[in-house]
Amino acid sequence: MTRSKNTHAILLEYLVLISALLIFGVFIFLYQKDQVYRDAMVVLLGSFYVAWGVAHHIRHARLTLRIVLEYVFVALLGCLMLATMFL
Amino acid sequence: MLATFKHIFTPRTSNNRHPRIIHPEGLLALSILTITFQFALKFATLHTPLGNVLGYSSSITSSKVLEQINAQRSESGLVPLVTNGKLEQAAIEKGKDMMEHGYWAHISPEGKDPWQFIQAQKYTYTSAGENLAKDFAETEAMIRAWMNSPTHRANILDTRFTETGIAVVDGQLDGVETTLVVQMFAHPSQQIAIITEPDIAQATRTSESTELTPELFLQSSPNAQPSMGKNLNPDVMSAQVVAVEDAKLAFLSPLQISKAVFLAVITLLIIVLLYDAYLERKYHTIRNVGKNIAHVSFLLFVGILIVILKGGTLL
Repeated sequence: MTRSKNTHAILLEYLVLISALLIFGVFIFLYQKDQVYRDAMVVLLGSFYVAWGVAHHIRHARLTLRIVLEYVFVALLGCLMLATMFL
Repeated sequence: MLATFKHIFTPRTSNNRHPRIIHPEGLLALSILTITFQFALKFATLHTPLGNVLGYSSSITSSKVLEQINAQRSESGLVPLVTNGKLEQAAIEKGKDMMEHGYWAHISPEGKDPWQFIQAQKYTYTSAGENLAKDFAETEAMIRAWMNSPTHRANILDTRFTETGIAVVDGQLDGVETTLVVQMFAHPSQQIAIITEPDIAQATRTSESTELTPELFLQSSPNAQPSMGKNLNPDVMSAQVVAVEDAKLAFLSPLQISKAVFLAVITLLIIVLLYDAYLERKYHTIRNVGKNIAHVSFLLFVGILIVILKGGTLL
């Protein structure tokens, strides 16, 4: 893969990430009054973020357990905040 | 002390050129602190004197609700609703009943529907409706939620309704501190008689009143008898309106505290991540870690959601 193609691929992956975050955001906002639905969307959001990080590192960098854990705990932190805010 | 600070927040040789706080261990510690903080806040609100200061309740009052409901009706060219003491008492009783019997529904587990609460106040009507809401911090957010819900909106903008009763009830629902808002809507069957009986019409008093809870319902009257003076009910006509204006002063709500703390944590992490990315680029540091830009995007997104989510539920 050339450097240019690699850059385009990375940009495309970030575009997918941002787009997915926006879509999740819209759904969570629209259904914020439904706690079950909201929490389910938050879990899906966290899972998607971890999956995106793993896929990105497999394609463009080295993937180690610590990197997976880094994505897992960033996702966990964000999801805990969203899920427990209305306790 | 300074060395510890730098170890936690800036890339150095001591932390393998990656701030300790964004190592997996640091992020896990933050996650544990987050959940601990939330449960501690909840415990303090429910079981300590601090709860009196924090207050789980919102800034919602019945007068604000009435004002904003009537503003919505005015925008649609409808006449404003007038508070009726009996409807207000019916709303209060409904709110108390939900708290006492631990349910959140238009119809109680014993099968008691909203209209029974209205009828218990000896209020007769040709049409009636109920809106419920729960756990909203602000009147504006609750009204917006109602207006975005087709069924609740239908009640608010129903041309048949002329009177309302609003109650805001604080208490424990299933062990959780909750603010419930109940709004009853109705059109009294006696109003027809008011046209021909000005003296009687004077007897129907109105008042500004109570607090609300977030839920809504729409139904027609089960025993409406819209004939003229024949249906006049002396009890209704001489109704003593019980106006309860519980102006609640919530100094700090737990939700506001949670939001502030979470946003502070997110802001700190974003600053650390951006600074780390800047130094990585500047010194061409080679390391194998997660992508800071991705983390910043995700945390920024979570922060925006924390700001815009309002909480509360409708029924």
